[in-house]
Amino acid sequence: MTKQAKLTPQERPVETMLPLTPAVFHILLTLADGEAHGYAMMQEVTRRSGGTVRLGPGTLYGAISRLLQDGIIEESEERPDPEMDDTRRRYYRLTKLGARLLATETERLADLVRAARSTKAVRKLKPA
Amino acid sequence: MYLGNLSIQYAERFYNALLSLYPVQFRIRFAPEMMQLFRDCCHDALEKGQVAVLVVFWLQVLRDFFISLVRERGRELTGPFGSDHPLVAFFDMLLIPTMVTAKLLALGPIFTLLFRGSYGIPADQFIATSGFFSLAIGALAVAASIVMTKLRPTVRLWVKLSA
Repeated sequence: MTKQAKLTPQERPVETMLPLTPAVFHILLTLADGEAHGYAMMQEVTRRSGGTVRLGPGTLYGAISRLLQDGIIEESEERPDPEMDDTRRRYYRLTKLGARLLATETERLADLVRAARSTKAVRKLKPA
Repeated sequence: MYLGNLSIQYAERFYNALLSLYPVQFRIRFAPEMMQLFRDCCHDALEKGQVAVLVVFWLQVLRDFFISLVRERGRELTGPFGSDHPLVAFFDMLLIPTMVTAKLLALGPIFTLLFRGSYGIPADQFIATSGFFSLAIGALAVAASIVMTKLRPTVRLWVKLSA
């Protein structure tokens, strides 16, 4: 029996990286709109989730560290607006793998919602 | 304004000290950005100028700090070598019981405050009672950690087989 070569995170099929945590999903969703720095990501995640997901510095940069390592996001050299730029800030953007991962996770969640909505019990329920 | 700047200065110093507890590699790469983010959040909280907002802000910061610290330290332990490395197993044996015990020891004084005056615990012997609680909890934590460490290979095998 031959030993299988270990795949790098970039070579792994995106399905093996699912499901994403709410924090990671929101970060990727924010970066899908364009590159952003930590503070912008944090504010956007809070706004988008209606305050239900709040990322502190430790959680945010822990997630960014793992996403960078897996090649899902990358640091951007360019600055979206050089006039507004603060040199201390680093900007991040989605890689192709990251965009594929986000699309796959969105599809998975949509399937899940469709399946849930097709059940009688959920159809009877009214949102709070 | 001056008071605000002064409190931000002290808050930054405190948060900087907390950052030093993260693993070195993580700190080198992300500490300046985390500090900048903390500074921005601190300004936002101070701008609102309400005590309740500041209290909630600090509770969130501390919660975030403890959770991410444990996660990054865990990642550091299993990261470079892989969790099967004997060095990792050795550090597991030492570090996990120590960390768990250190955290649970704080429960001693809390339990004493909760139960003082009841169950025959004299209120005036605070140090002795909290010491007793701390030692008892610490011993339990060490025992539980050792059992968990022993069970780890079995759990890993079970996860591999069921995957």
